[in-house]
Amino acid sequence: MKTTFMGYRRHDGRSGVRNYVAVVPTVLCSVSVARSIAEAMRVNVFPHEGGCGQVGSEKEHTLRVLEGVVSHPNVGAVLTVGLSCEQIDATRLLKAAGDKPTRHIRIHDEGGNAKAVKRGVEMVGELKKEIKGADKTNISVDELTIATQCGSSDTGSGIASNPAVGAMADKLIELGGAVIIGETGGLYGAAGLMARRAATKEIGDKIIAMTDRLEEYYKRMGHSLREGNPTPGNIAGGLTTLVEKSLGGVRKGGTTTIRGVLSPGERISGKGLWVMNTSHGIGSCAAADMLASGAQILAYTTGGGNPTGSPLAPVVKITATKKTVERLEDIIDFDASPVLLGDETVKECGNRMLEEMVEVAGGKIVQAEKTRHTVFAIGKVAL
Amino acid sequence: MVSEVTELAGKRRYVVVDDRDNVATVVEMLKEGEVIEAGMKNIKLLRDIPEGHKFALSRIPKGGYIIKFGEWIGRATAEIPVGDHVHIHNVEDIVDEVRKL
Repeated sequence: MKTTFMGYRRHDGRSGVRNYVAVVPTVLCSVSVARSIAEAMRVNVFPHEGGCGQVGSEKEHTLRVLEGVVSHPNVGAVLTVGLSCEQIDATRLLKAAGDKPTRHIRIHDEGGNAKAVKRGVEMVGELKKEIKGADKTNISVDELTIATQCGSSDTGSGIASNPAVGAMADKLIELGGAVIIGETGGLYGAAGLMARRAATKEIGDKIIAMTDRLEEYYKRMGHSLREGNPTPGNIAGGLTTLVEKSLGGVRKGGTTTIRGVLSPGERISGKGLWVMNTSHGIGSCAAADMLASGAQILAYTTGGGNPTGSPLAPVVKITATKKTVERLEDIIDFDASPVLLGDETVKECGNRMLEEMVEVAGGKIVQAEKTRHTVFAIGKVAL
Repeated sequence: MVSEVTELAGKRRYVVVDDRDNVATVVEMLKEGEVIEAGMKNIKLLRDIPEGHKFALSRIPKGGYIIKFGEWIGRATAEIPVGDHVHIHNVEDIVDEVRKL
């Protein structure tokens, strides 16, 4: 197996697998202008609904994720797009970018939307030039952090594609890399099992506590996390209990010891398997949290074929459902159906998947990058 | 431990995720009355098992645990004979029990 790839060495010592230009609105009011700039220049945009009128943990969470974006090793240059009256201070945000080329515009200063778009387009042009031909260097696979997620799940997810991702995770960790598993609501029913796999009792307690906080949040709203979970679709598909659903989900993390628990969007600070509390956030909100940690690739299992990519990292779409591989060729990157059909063991599939991850790290473009279908969102609730 | 219980030759019809499991998950609809080879024994299915659903590999007494992934996933609310459909009609969730450290 190839254990190195050509990637980008960043000033802070981390390594990136892409050299994206990021157009980052500092506030929801400037999302439309940011989007127009990014679309015109075919670079990546990070729309969100925060940046103003936020307090406490919600405000901190938005800033933490945006700092995770501008400092991210997959990002080579940053344009922030502000309004001028917002809560988030672009100057502070851009400090997180370190020595990367950056620009900042404010819609009020530029004289309106059209002028801001025009100026922003010019600036992205400059940034593209500045990072063009950036040196790539040989990087060891032990510098990879791979985040894991599942969506549009079906029977094959819990018994084939998630265990295969878990086997990939075990192998990557054996080679010295790191893996993140998140989706607090998803692991609710497996929290006890995960806690027993933690390196210390303190880490285990944190896993239980983060799921308790989410359940308390639902209770304050007069509801329960367990309401309608498993969903009617899950039950029709054969899932019987929430515990079964959660156990199928957490298999993405593999079988190694859990080294720590991260807050939503917090930077990862070690190797091995980490749990991120993605709190109330699902789908692209949870993906943004996990990737903001510095993870360079997202391994995403999907039965039905979830279409979402990320502007922060290549998202490798994995399915064990043959029908999905055949029908959704512009969505699926990796075919894990041989596991479900009995033609490949989980471990063999995990090794093959890690080889694919190393290829992607070295520049192989995934479907979501090819089709430019990316979704980015920052969750409003970070408990 | 993830085991590869079913034969790797040909198209697999059901998956036993872990060798401690007392249920198997079917990959394609299996019909009532079909006899399925499971490890050392033959199991006659007592009902149709739709794709993605589970059947019992061994008798599960009322109050016994349903085991999948090598872990408890629920408790039988009635005795479940070998080859029977295992689903919400004869299983209750045990989320409070397994959420403890």
